[in-house]
Amino acid sequence: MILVDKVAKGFKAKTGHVQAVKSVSFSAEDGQITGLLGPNGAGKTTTLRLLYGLLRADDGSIQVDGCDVGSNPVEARRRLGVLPDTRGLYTRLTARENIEYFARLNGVSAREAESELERLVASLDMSDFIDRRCEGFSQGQRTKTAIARSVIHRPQNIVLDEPTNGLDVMTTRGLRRFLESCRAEGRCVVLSTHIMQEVAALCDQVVVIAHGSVVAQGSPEELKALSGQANLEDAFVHLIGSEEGLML
Amino acid sequence: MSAVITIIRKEWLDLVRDRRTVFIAIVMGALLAPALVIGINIFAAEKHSERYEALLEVPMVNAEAAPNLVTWLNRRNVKVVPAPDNIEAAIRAQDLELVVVIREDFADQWYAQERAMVDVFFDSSRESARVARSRVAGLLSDYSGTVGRVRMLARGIDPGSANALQVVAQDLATQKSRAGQALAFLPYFLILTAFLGGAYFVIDTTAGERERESLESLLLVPVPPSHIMLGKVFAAVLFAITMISVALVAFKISFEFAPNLLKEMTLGWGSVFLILVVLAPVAVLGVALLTLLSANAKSVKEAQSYMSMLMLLPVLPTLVLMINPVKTETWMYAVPFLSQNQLVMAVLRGEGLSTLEVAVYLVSQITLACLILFAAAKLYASERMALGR
Repeated sequence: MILVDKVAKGFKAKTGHVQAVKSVSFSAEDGQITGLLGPNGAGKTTTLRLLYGLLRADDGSIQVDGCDVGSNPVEARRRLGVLPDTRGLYTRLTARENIEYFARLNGVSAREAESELERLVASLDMSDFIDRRCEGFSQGQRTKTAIARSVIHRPQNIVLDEPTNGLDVMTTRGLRRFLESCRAEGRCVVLSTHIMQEVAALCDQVVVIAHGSVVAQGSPEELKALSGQANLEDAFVHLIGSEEGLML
Repeated sequence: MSAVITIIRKEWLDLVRDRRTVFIAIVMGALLAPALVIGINIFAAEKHSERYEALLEVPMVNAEAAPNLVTWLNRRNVKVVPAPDNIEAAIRAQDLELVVVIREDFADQWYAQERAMVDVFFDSSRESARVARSRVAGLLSDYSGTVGRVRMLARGIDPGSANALQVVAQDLATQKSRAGQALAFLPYFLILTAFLGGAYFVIDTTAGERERESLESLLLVPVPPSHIMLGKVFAAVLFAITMISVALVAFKISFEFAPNLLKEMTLGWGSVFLILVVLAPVAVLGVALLTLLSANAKSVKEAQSYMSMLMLLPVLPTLVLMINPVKTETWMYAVPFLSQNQLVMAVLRGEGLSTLEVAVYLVSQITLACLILFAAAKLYASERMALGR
């Protein structure tokens, strides 16, 4: 379970101060898939980076299974599996060696890692490239390897930054089945996306972010009701559009 | 601590898979230099002695006027050949090394037992003609002396009395000075190898890993960032030490194949090991400094741009000493690069190292490396590390 409480984050830029996240609060429950939905540049990636402790929040706090990310980042990370925005692999190592490296760093024993890896290879359909060097992998193969390395230690909480970016339909469906199986196991899944179908197909709860703030929160059904729109896409445009309307 | 070992093993696997880079680093950085030095020296030595003994062709103008001289030269492995018309042009064009001209009135002067005139044309700025020049000058002076003594004997005078001094040149400098030149250059080469031997590795595993976008995931494992840094630092230090070891062994072996060279040096296996111990802190220092610089750099390019500056760093203390020479004092063993230079020289000269000097050296260098690593560890834990800005 992940609790985000009024976090804020700004950056110094050449043009002056940029407030990437103004105030974001939400909670992601175990056994649920929570989607952060927002247009490009809304602050999704920054919010997630605060969540997994790569950046330190200027204000507010984040707890992972009751463990404070700001004061105890190493302990919090033990409970997290993260697919970050950047998905570089070690191209001179095979996919298996890449994943085993992260298993070792997460303190997973070789035997445990092997059985978990076999499970992941089956569920993410990686058998035809698992023992190939990562040089020249397709986007789908790269993403699958990156996901496998981020969950090899069976974390209770899984955070994915735009996981289906650049994936074809088959791969996307495979990934959805994988995330649904994580939910069925009672794990807490948080993903960011700007793709509507993904939210409709996967998420139990949606947090709509625009301009660094949460503009709406609830199940897809609740969002439709909130905006008075019949489908989710219209609801999304309505929720964000009204915000932009106010800004203008 | 197991994370540190995991990282060292992975970085080495990653490096070893990059065969070409490893091959170039080892061969270029560690084997080529000693091979070159020794090779050039052997080549130069051989050329020198060979050319003093080989058949020398001497172009001579008006050779028929001095048949005795020609016969005498022939017996001393010199072949007299006809000279071209334009002597000056032939020497300028480097076609000929020198030309001997027997003057028109040589025969008349010879029979009158006066001093007969012989001109030797050469270009003193040409280093390659030096051997021929000194051979011809020596032979002509020998001939002059021999004939002069015969003439004195014919007049009943002891030829010995004509020479008030017999000067015998005993050149002791060559071996020593050549060894000295190599001595002066060897510590710098070894220190540079130790200092920057791990440079490629460090840049690749810090700035390079960030550029290849795998660093963010690595920094997200439940391991303190300082441990991740230490794993990478140890891996690079091991690589640098491998490179120094290869270089030292290459030097040791090359010396055994060049017995006439570098007799001044004692380089037993004990000295090789001592030098390795002296150089190990430089490897740590170099890796620490590059870790700090490339963790702070925005890109691999920026990290690499520090390299040319770092290459000059080991020369600086030596330069300062050249401009302002002072006697070696204990505090100097705390100055990076200066201390290694002194210590490596001492080992090569076969002088003993005092415990105080070694203690000052080790404590100061390790403290300095730790300070740099501490700063680098702070950087590793910062937001800047993951994002590169």
